[in-house]
Amino acid sequence: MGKNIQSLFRGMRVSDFFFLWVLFANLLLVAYLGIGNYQNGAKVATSQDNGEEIVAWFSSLAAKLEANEPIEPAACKPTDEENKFTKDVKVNHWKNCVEALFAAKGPFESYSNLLHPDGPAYSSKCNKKDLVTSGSFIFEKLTINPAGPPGISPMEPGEKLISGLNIRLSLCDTGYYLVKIGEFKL
Amino acid sequence: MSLQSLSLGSLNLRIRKRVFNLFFNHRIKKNYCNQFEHFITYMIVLNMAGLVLEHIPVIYETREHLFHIFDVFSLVVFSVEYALRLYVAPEDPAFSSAKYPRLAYCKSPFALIDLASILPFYLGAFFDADLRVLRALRLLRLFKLFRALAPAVNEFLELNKDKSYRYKIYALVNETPTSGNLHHIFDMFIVTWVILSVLAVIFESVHSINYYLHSEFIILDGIAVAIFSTEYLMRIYSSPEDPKYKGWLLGRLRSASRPTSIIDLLAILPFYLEAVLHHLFDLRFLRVFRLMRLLKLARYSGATQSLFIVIKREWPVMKAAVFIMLLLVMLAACLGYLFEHEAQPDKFENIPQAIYWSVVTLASVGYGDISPITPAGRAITIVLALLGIGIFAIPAAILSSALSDQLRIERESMMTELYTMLEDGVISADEQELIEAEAKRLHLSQGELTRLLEKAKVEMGVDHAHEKDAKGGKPGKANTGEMSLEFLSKHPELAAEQLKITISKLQQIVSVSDRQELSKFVENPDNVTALQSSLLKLLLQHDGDKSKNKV
Repeated sequence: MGKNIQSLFRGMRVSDFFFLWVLFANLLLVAYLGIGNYQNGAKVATSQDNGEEIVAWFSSLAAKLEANEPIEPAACKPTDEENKFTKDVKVNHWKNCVEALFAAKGPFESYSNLLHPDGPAYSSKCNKKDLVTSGSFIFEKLTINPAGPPGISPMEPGEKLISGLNIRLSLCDTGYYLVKIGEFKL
Repeated sequence: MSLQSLSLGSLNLRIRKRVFNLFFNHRIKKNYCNQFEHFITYMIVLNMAGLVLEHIPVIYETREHLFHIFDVFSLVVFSVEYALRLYVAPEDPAFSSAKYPRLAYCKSPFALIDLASILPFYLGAFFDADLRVLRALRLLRLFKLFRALAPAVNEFLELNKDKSYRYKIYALVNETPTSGNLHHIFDMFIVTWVILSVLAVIFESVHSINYYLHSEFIILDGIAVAIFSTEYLMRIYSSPEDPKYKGWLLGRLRSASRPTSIIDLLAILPFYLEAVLHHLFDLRFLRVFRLMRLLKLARYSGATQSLFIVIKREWPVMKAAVFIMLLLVMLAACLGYLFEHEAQPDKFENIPQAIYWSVVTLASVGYGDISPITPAGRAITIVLALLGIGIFAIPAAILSSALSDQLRIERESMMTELYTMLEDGVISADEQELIEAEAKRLHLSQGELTRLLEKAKVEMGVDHAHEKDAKGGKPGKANTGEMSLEFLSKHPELAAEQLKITISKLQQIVSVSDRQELSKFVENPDNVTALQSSLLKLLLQHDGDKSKNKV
């Protein structure tokens, strides 16, 4: 076997060596790009885990409300459906809530955009034209449609936080596709 | 007592020989050697897959017991294999000449690998060893694949020892007379990775799977691209070895522009483009193009090649059928637009929309999203639907008849090959292998092949040959077509056939020789024995009679 292997490389020409170099360079390139892809994949996986934490946090809101426990940040406290038009009841808005969540000392302070560290941690849309949206969390409002699938629209900053509001959390991945993480009800 | 031990000993010898011949003797064709080796190879591959899957928590945590059962089953299989190989070592020609054949087997590299692949489990059972180390040691099972690979590599290097490095690469990636088994292993490897990567692309689109296995899919895709790009470079680099693609640049360019090469390129291009240009263009659509890898399998299917040949051959007729179809589609669309536009401006908004309706109607699909409501529109639809049945059937009928025609042509050319092979009256082992490969390509069953062989033999005058004669590779038959005397002594019917062939050959020699010179030679008692003289005189007389009859 050893002798035969030696015979494989006997009488090699310059072009053969060049071919081997091209082959090797290609493998290096694939490994380099592959490692890059894998690192991005790992970041997406970490972001997904973070997203699951966010969904769990929002899902626990209802239980806290029922138990009359304080909600921190208070900007995320939803208003009851029947009180939303009452003048003396302050209705929170989505913008304040999400800002408080990701702000310093907020529960998700450490959750940043892992794919684009300079980009926002959350955004309203996964936008191919806005490159930094890749890696950010996307919150979408779900409108229940009895006749078919729910209607989906971006969570506007001025959206009122009313109990029973259905929200879907997704992650904008490297290819600007939405990766659904979970849904919750306020 | 001694008689009993003697009979036990001989029984043991008989069993050992039987086991060796059944599972390990490569020289016997009709045993389970290949099946056994394939089974072991599949077990190794499954073990490696299991090892990879064990590291994916979402798969492993809920099915831990299944993994354990499979591990124990694998261990039993590999242990039995090791024990069997050890048991039959004295029968194996590689070790039988050693003083202690079993010890010689134990010291051989493959036996050491086999042992290393099962030992960690037993060590873990008796000693308090680190489980992670034991798991890692199971990777050694991969080396068992060398048992199949090493002989193929040796054979390949032996067959190509005088060839250039570029030719060796050519022989590895293409079927050549010197490709050997290694080429088949290479093909199998590529086919396996094509299937794996296509499955990965399909499962990637399933959110619930991709959510948990995203990183694993990235690794799989990276490995697949490394393999396919290496294969692509090997094919392009070695293409000038093909007489059709001579020339270091032009030849390679021509080779690269072949449909199969373009498919190979498309299979790897999305990876590079998406990694390099994703921030400049929206290249998400390229991900789907990874499914083009499935087309790589066309290279390995004779049926696909036959289909391409048929389409190429029948293209003029197909073109005419397609032309009529297009004509009808356009005509129907225009009439549909004319009659329906006013009644349904939203559905028959323009002619392109009407074309969609006419194709759906002609093809008998009838989605029902656009349907005529005016009497004239409905009348057209009736005619269109009836015509569609016939018009759309034409290309299908052309293709199916041409395909069966192609199969007949290929079978006829196989028969011609059979006639050529049977010119010497016998089919050698090499010829038999060629026939079997061709029969496999043409999807002929063993029964059909035997029937064709019998037919060829009858037509070539080698009728009444024994069935065994056709199967080749059997003892007593050399590559030259001559049979050994020992073999003939055991097969009188074949001996008779051989005699007939020899007499025919003698007749041929006499007929092409100068009869007068031959007669002079025969009459000299110094040249021939009495028997030879009588025989030759008989042949000369027979040849003379034949010539007179002709005149």
